[in-house]
Amino acid sequence: MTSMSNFPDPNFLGPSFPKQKLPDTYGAKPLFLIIGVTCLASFVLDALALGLPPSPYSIEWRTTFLEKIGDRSILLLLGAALTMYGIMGNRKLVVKLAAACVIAGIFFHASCLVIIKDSLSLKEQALSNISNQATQLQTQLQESRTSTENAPTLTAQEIAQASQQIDNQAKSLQQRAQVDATKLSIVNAGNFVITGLGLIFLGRFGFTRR
Amino acid sequence: MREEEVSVKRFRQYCQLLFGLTTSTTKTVHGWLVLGGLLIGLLYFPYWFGYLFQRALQGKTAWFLIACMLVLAFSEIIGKRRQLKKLAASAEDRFLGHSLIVSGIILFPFCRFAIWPQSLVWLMILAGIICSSWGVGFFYQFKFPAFLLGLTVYPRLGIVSRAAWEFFIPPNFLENTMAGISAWALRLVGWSAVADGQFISFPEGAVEVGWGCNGLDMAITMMLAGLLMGIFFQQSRTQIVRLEVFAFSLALIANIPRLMVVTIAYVYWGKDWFRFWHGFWGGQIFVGILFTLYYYAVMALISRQNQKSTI
Repeated sequence: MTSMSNFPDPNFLGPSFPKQKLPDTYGAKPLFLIIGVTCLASFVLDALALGLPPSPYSIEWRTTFLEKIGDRSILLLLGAALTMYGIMGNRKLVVKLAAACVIAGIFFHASCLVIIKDSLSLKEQALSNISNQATQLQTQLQESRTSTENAPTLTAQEIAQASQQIDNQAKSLQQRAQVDATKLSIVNAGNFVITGLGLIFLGRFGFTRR
Repeated sequence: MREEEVSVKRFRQYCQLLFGLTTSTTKTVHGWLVLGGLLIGLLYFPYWFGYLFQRALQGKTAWFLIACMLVLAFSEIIGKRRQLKKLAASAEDRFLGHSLIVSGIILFPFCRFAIWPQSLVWLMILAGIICSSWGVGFFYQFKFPAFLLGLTVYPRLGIVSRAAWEFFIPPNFLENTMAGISAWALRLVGWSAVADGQFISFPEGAVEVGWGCNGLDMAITMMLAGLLMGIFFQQSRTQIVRLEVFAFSLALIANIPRLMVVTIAYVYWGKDWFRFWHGFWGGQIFVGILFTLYYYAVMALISRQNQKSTI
């Protein structure tokens, strides 16, 4: 009751306490701690939901998992930063969180290797798929020339034109696949690099705070 | 006899210096880690150098670009070595650098399947060595050398520039433009050439303008040469930018006559002439003419600038 009676302290920000520092305006620290822990928990939940059951040898699982993690990685960064603000007085905890941030940042950077390797092999797959289909079409075309059924309807020139068209289409498809894969891998790896740098610098900041 | 004695003495001195360096580095954890990181660099070096050497024999210019970048980076670092000596790594920078080095050393054995992962791991280790020896402040005070050093890690600059180009520019834009302009120029000279997408077609045959023929590689090399000349002649920043833009456009414009010659050689003169113009010798002639033109243009620009500044 006593604490309630003087709760809206009339001199809270007033001049009657000139020497007292205001350590925590309006309880911002617990607020940030709540938001930060919520962000971290939601990130962890997302990662678990996306990653379980793990099948690290399957390239599809790896690509989708890392892509989704990269999309949500900003949540991890924000959560870590807000949590760090929330626990700022507690030196031991801050150092632990900072070390975790640095290690997570390095881990993010290292996972770029996996992202690039996977995107390269996926690109190879797509390119070989396209060329396989093109050769299949070409053989079908050649067969139709030798078969007697279509002989009166198809002239040699038409067949040559069709074959040229198949070649051109396959080539443009391959080109598009290549450019798309390059773009996607740059964006994905870029996400990881940027967030990793953010985490590393957050960790450094945490180490320097007392 | 005397020369031999001197050389033996010098050899001994070098050995002592090397031994002293190793013993002094292995006294601390930091020294051990840096040594381990450098060892990884030594393992990667033959791949890096071998690739560059092999491409240099084929007449590519990547080695020149990388050599220029290394020279620029190290000249700036050595020029500011007093500043470098003042830099010291704090405890958190040490921690960061050592974690980077250790994770690089752990990852490296799994990355031997191609050049690019090795180069990324080496980049990580290099960053770690810099962080743990001089602190993150190095990257603030030596932005430009750090950027250049980062670029030299991967020897296949062509792929890097291609990826960057394709990220921003619509597919085949430069090839189509080059084909269109070359066909137009050929028509001006009196040939009956028509551009169709990437193809320059004649009644007797067609030529495709591929990635290697769009002039981008040469334009980038010229840009770096412009940067080098700008730094060498101690030009201002705007002047360097001007030199680079000029180099880029000159290389692209000069690519058009080259394309015209190669096209005509392919369609009308026969295979041997095409090989001559498209291969090593044609490339050398083209580069020679281009650099001569560029040199005189740049000297004219610089002397005009100097006149302005003296008045």
